Parts: sequence; structure tokens; C-alpha cells
Amino acid sequence: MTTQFEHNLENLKSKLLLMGQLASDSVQGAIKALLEGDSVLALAVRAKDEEIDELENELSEEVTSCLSTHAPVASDLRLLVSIIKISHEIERIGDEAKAIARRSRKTATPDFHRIPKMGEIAREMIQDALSIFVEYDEDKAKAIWTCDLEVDQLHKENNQFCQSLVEKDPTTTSSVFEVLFISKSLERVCDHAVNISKETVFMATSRDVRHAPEFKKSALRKELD
Amino acid sequence: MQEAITTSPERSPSTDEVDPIDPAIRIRDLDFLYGSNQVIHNVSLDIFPKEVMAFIGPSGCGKSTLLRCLNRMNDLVDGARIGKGSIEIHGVDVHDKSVDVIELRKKVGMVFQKSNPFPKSIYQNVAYGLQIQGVKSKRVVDQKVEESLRKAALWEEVKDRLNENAYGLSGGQQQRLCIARTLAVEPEIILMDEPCSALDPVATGRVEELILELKHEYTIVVVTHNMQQAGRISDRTAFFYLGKLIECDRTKKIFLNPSKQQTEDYISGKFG
Repeated sequence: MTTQFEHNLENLKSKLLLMGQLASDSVQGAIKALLEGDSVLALAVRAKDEEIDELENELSEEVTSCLSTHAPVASDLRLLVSIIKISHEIERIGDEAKAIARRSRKTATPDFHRIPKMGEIAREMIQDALSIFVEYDEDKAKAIWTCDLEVDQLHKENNQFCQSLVEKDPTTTSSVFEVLFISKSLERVCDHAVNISKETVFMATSRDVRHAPEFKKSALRKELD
Repeated sequence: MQEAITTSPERSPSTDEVDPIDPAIRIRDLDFLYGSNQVIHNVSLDIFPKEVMAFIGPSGCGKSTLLRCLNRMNDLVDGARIGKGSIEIHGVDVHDKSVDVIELRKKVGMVFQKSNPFPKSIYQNVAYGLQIQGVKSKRVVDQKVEESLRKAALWEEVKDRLNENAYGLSGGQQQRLCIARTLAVEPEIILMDEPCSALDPVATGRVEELILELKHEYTIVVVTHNMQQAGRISDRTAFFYLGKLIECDRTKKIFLNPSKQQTEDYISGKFG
């Protein structure tokens, strides 16, 4: 028989996944709006952010209630703590998607260089992070951290590309800056996906790998080399 | 022979590098029976000096019986006996024939679920143990009574009414008086059998604070059904089920990520 508490935990998990899916769709929508100059879609992305914020508030309230009334321990406690932290990461992804959507209306460059690729990877990283929340897979978590290195590289390439554009034609500076900001937003989205995956490691194993030296970017880069 | 669970209490890294701490209590391969009913099965466990060890588990799991074995309170129960194994306190087998049980209970004091002050004054309750030990000097007894009441965080509340009957104290104060009475005879180990189960949250909080203070000087073993209490006050927690020691580890570990599924299920309220 499922207890009310177990039922509450299942509801919280579903709500978190819904929030994650909305954020993932928002990132995809924001990139599409940018590449296709679709201002209606950009507005829809901005509206979706409110929905994400609302879900974060609901989760925060419901987790607090669960903690205060059931005083959970062990895996239940880890799940609830992780839900609070992951929901915050997802909310930040929603904010970045909204920022990209807002900037998409100001950007008039025909060449977005690595941004489409970064958008694709970002979406995959969010989806993978959500999937390991549902079914824990440490290898998949590590693959997300490795993907993040690729995103950092793409962001670096965007920087160099934008710099060369400005050097060639200084009148493009304003538009180029928008591209740079978008690139930075995507890079942050991927950092949030990494944070989500690290929280799931804690949730599943109680190991706190957030600041573990072996999982820092420099160590991962060295391992790849 | 069951391997003893000897996860030592948390120590600073520098302490870890020096000699390991000898346990204050060493339980080995213990079987305990009431008549033909075996209630403890092959338990091995070390309890270290100045740590708070919590015993948890569902009713009937043997945790109170084990606690009472530590100062031979079970001697008073008809048919109660050790099947095999041993309990050593600082290297001395407590069930050895040469052990003076009165001396043992002086060294290993006990606080019960329900406070049980004597029908005497507050002062007399604390002084009683000293007087039966033959301490005659009023100055020494006065000093010890004050010291014990201070350690039990009760002195400020009772110093002006030491001659009043102990039954006039609140439930929480009575329990702290019983702790003071235990402290007066200078034990090394204090056993507490659900010491807060009859207390309200404020009184419970005071006793818990007191336990955290006392652990600087005493080894404390607490039986509790209150998981949050075990989490708040103990350094290590031992989970018992059907007379067996299922798991013993640092309390933080037990309540965050226990090694055994049975432990997780019990502390999460899925059974028991």
C-alpha cells in the first residue's frame, strides 16, 4: 500500500520533471526564435518562464511541508533536499532561456557561429540530467560533465569569432555583443545541467561531488587529454 | 563468530593518526535469553569513551534488554541469563563472579523511561547514593549535591527549595533530578532507557541539551524510539531488529545513507 507520504514524494518528482521539461522546451524555443527571428515564439518563451517560477514556488512550499510534517531521513531526505536544489537550477535555466528569447529580438546577425550547436548540446544535457533523476546512471552523469567541456570550447570559439567580426567591422559591435551574451547564457544553461546531474549523484548515493577535485573541469580535461 | 561493529566515533584526522581508542564497553558474541526465549542473538559491538551511542529499533528488538545487560539490571528478572558471549567494561567482564554488582551500578548508572525520584526532598534524592556509600561529611555531600544538580542543569531551578519534596517538581525536572542522582555517585557510563518518552518538547529539549553537555565527561548509551532525537544527540547509532544488531555506524551516515535496506525501511517509518 502506498502511504500518503510516498504519494507526496511521487507528486513532487513529477512536478520537478514537468518543470525540467518546460525549461528544456524553453531553451529549444529560445534558440529557434533566435535562428528564425520568430518574435511570437520569443514571447511564448518569456511567458513560459513564469510557469517555471510558479512551479519552483510550489515545489519549495510542498517540500518544506513534507520536511516539517514527516521529518524524513535517508533516501527520502536526500530526495527532498535534491528537489529543492534541482528546482533552483531549473529555474535558472528558465531565466537564461528567457534572456536568450529577449535578446533574439535585438540580434540582427546572419551568422550565429557555434550557437545552434551549443543549443543542441544544452538541450541534450538537460534531458540527460532529468533522465538520471528518474533512473540513476553514474556513467551518464559523467558524460554530462564531459559534454560541458565541449560547450566551454564552443563558447570560446564564439568569443574568438565575435572578436574577429568586431575587428573587421566595428559597426556590428552591438549585435555581436548580443551573440556573445547568448553564447554565455547557453554556457550557463549547461553549467546548470551539470549541477543537476551532480545533485542526482548526491540523491542516489549521498556522495557530494559538487566540489570533488576529481570532477572539476581541469581534472576532467586532463583525463580527456 | 560475528565480527564486532567497531566503527569508531568521529575524530579529528590528527586524532585518527594516534593510537586507536580502547572501547569503554566491549560486547562480544552475546546471546541473551529470558527462560527459553532468546532475545539477543550474537551481538558484538564496541562503545567508545565519551560518545553518545543510540540504540534504535522496533519494540521487542532487544535494545532495552541489551542496555540492561550493561549494568546487570537483568539479574533482577527471573530466568534471565546470558547464553554465550561477554560484556566487558574497561576490560572487565561484568558477568564475572568477582564483580560487585553494587560497584558496577555505581560505575554504570541508569536513567529510566519514567522519572522515579524517591519520596524524599530534592536534596535527599541526590545525597542518598553518597550517604549509602558512607560519605558522612555534610560539607562533602552538600558540595556533591550542588555539583550534580549543576551538571544536570537543575541547580538554578531548585537551589532555593532543596528541602521540598521531589514530587513537587515537573516531569522534566524530575527526570533531570534522576540524572543528578545518577551523577552524584560519579559514574563513568550513563545508560538511558527512553529518557524523554514521558516529557513534553520543552523538557525533552532540556534533557537533550544536558546529554550533549554530559558527553564531554561520560559515555552515554540511550535507547530511544524517537528517530529525530537519535539524530540530534548521538554520535553513533545501532539499529536492532529481532534481537540482532543489523547496523551500527555514525549517526550522520545512518540517517543520511544507511548501508542496510532494513535500517532505511525502519528509520523511514516503513515498518516497526
